[in-house]
Amino acid sequence: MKVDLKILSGVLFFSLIAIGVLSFVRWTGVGRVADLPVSAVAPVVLPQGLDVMVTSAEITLEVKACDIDKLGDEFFLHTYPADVSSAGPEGFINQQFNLKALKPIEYKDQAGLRSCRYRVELSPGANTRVALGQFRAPEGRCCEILWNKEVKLDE
Amino acid sequence: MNNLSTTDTASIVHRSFGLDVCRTIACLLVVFGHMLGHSTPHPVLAGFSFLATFGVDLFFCLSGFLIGRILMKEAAHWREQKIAGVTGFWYRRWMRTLPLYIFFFFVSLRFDWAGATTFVEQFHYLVFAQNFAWNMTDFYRLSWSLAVEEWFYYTFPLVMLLIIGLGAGIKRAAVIGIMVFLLVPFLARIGLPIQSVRYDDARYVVLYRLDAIGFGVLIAYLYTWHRPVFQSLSSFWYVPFVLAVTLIVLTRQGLPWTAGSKFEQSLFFTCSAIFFAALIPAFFNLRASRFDLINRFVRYTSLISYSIYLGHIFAFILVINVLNRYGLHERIYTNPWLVYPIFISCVYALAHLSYTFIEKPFLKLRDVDSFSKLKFLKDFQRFGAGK
Repeated sequence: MKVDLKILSGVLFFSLIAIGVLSFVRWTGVGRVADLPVSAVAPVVLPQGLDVMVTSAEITLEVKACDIDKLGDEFFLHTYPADVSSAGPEGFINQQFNLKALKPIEYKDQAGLRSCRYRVELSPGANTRVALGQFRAPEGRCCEILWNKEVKLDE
Repeated sequence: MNNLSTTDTASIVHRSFGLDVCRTIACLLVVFGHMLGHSTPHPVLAGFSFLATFGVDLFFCLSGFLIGRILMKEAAHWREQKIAGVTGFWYRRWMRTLPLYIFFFFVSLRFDWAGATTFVEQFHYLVFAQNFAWNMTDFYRLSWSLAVEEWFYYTFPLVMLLIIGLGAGIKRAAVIGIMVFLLVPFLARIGLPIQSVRYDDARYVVLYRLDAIGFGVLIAYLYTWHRPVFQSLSSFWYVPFVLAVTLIVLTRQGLPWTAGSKFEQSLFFTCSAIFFAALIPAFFNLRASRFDLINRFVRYTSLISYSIYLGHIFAFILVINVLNRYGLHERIYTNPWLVYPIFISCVYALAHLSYTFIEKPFLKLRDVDSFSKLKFLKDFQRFGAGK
């Protein structure tokens, strides 16, 4: 068992190069996500094949033909509680989900076409409104809102 | 995807048909999955696009096995060669992988993201820092797996060399290297969760995925020093096969993202890598079929698999653009019986071109030995002297 300093110094040299490259790249801002406020001009038209039902306790999403691959982008659900102290600094409670990570609660067959229903429970307590939609983060910049639907619950 | 080692003639002699089958399956799973994502498939088919991820997992394990075997052979001389042994290994890997990677990087800049981004904004792709321990962007997204591979090529030999430099033998260096590459990603997935934008972002992070290649190296270790165990794995191939299929079914149900804890999620990735890696011995022992056409298809797909992998999305984009330009989009794009054969033909045509004009010349250049270089220089000198 003989330690070879020439080999060790070579390993150290190339390790430092790797660390240096990663540190420099990180320093230039790569991999950092900047949060931007939700755009107010997001379209309100729901994507084709998706129906949304909202009650005071939950939202139900019905996907025609169970084709969730067309709805692969991340969903956001902003719940605005009547008691604003229970919300975050933005005034709402943010829930994020993806249909691929949810199990359908029900399958429905209608005219030979199957559809899948998914349920997402709202945060408990009285809520004044919810905003539901999908978003993307192109180049890591959050967020491009694909569509956005708001429902008032206190009317 | 990038583990072919030599040019045509030599490679046909040395290639394992079974590993070609493995590479072909992995490659076609990726193309199939992405093709569904770039079209309007039948609802039944649409649910299978997730299979692309398993194609890449299989690629990782295969790559680990092939590279592991090379490293365990070459490392026998590293004590005498010092760092030159490792730099020689890097040179061969980089000549194999970088030219095409860089070519498609510029294709992305010019055609896919024309005007939407610049070289300066994306320079970190050239040092494979796009997803080291953080989310990558949508630019040149296919490159995520290349980054995993390149960091493996860079770091695994360094770990082995470090252990050898500390006085250990190759076998011990390999064991320690493998253990590091199995444990660190497993712990990183639990302890360093990235800030996810998409639900499955963790799948594309270098630090989280190195163990998939590490398990391939473990199989190479068994092949090199424990051949009976390797053969047993081959005989009981149906065990990892059933487990891998179960895992695929569970993925369809939402795993690993629906798992209750980071530990379970991390374990899922580990299991996936183990099951796919355990299939490698069975592939290795697979012999060519009786059907020459199938054998030739497998060998050719495997030969150009790296070009297929990096170029297939661009082939889809090209087809869609051409259909749009000639007003055929509505008529053809919505009909899978028409669009899929066009997609596949274009993928193979583009891959053939990029293999012939980019990969192959660089492989030839790489394989020029010092004697040939000397001869070339002498010929050049004679030419200069007018002889």
